Amino acid sequence: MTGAFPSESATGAFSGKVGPGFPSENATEKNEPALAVAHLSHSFSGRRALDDVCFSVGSGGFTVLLGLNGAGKTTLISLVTGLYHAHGGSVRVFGHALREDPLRALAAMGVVFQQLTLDLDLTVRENLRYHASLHGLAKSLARERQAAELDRLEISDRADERVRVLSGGLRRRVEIARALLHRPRLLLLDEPTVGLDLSTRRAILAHVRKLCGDEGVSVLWATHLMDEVETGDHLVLLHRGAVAWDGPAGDLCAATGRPTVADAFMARTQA
Amino acid sequence: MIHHLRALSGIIRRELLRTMNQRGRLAAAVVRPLVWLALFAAGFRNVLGLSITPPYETYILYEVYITPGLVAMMLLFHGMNNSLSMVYDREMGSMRTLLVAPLPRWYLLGARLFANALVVIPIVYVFLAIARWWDV
Repeated sequence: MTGAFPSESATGAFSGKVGPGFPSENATEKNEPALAVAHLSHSFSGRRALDDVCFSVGSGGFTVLLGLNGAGKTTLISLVTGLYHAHGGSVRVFGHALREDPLRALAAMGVVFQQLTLDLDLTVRENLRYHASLHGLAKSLARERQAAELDRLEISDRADERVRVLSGGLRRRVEIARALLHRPRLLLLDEPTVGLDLSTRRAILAHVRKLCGDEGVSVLWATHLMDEVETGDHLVLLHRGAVAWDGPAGDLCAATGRPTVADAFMARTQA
Repeated sequence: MIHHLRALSGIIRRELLRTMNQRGRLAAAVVRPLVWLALFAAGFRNVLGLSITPPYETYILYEVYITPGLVAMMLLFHGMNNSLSMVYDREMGSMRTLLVAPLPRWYLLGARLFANALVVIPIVYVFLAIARWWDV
C-alpha cells in the first residue's frame, strides 16, 4: 500500500480519491435537515438516559456530538437508528419520520456503531457483500462499490482476510467502508476512534471530514475526545442526558471565555 | 420485492459461509447421529425387531426405525445451535447490521430463521447418504 494511513506513514489522511455516486436529495427532501431530533426522551428502568433532547444536523454538515461516558450518546444513536423505541419525542431523517417511515429513514443513513458489528469469521469482502445485499444492491454494483470503497480506505490488499486477523484500526476502516457502500447521505459514527492510536484516529477523522466536504455527506460524529472538535464544527454538547450546548464550537469558547473546547466543555458542564 | 430477494439471498449466503467455516460444528452435526446409528442401533439390532405396519408380520431393523428420529435430532440440535448463535450475535453486536437494514424487521428475522432451516438440509442429506451406505 502506498497510502497515507498511519501504518504506512504519519500524515494522518487517506490518499484515496473521494469517488462519485452519492445520491442527491430529491425535491421534497431538499430543505429538510439531514437529521432532526425533537424532544427526545428515554429511560432505562426509571433512570432518565435522555431528557428532552433537541438538535439537528444540517444537510451536508459535520456535527460533533460531544459528551462524557454515560452522557447518553450511544442511547441517542440507538434511538436514531431505530434499535430502541423512544419513550418520547421524534426523529426525522431528511424529513422522513423514523416512527412512521422507518425504511426510507434507514435507507438514507449509514452507521458505524461503537461496538464492532463485523462478522469476525467472514472475510472483509464477505462482510461488505452481506451489507450490500441487505441494502438491495445488485451484485455487479455491489462489487464495483466494494472495490471503490476498499480502494479509498486503502484496505484492498486485505479484502480476502478474515476480520478476526485485522487490527482495531483496520476493522474500523472496514466498518466505515461498509457504512458507505449504499451511498448514505447521513453518516452516524458512534465513538469510531475509541481505542485507536493517535495517527489512526486522525486519519479516520480526516477521511470523514473529507467525505463531508467533498461529497456533501452529512455527518454526526459522537465522541468524548475533545481534540476531535474543531472550532468551526457544529457542536452538540450532551451532558447527563440533556443538551448543554447546540451551536458552533467556537461560540462555546467565546461564551465561556475559555481558549479551548476542552476548557469550555469543563466550564459548561461543571457550572 | 427485488430488494427483499437480494437481502434473503445475502442472509442465506452468510449463514452458509458461517456454517461451512465452523468445521468442528459441521463434523459434529454428522458424527453425532452416526454414533447413535453405529452404537445404539447396531447394538439393539439383535434384540429389537420392530413391526410398525399392519398386519405386523414383517419386521424392520432397528437402524431403519431410528433413522427418522436421528434426522429430527439433527434438526433439533441445529435449531438450538442457531438460536444460541442469534443470542451471541445480539450480544456481540453483529445483529445490529441486520436490524438497521431498510427492510421490515419481521422480514429480516424471518429470513434469518429461514436461512438457518435451509442450511441444515444438505447436512441431513450427507447423514442420509452415509446411512444408506450403512444399509439403512
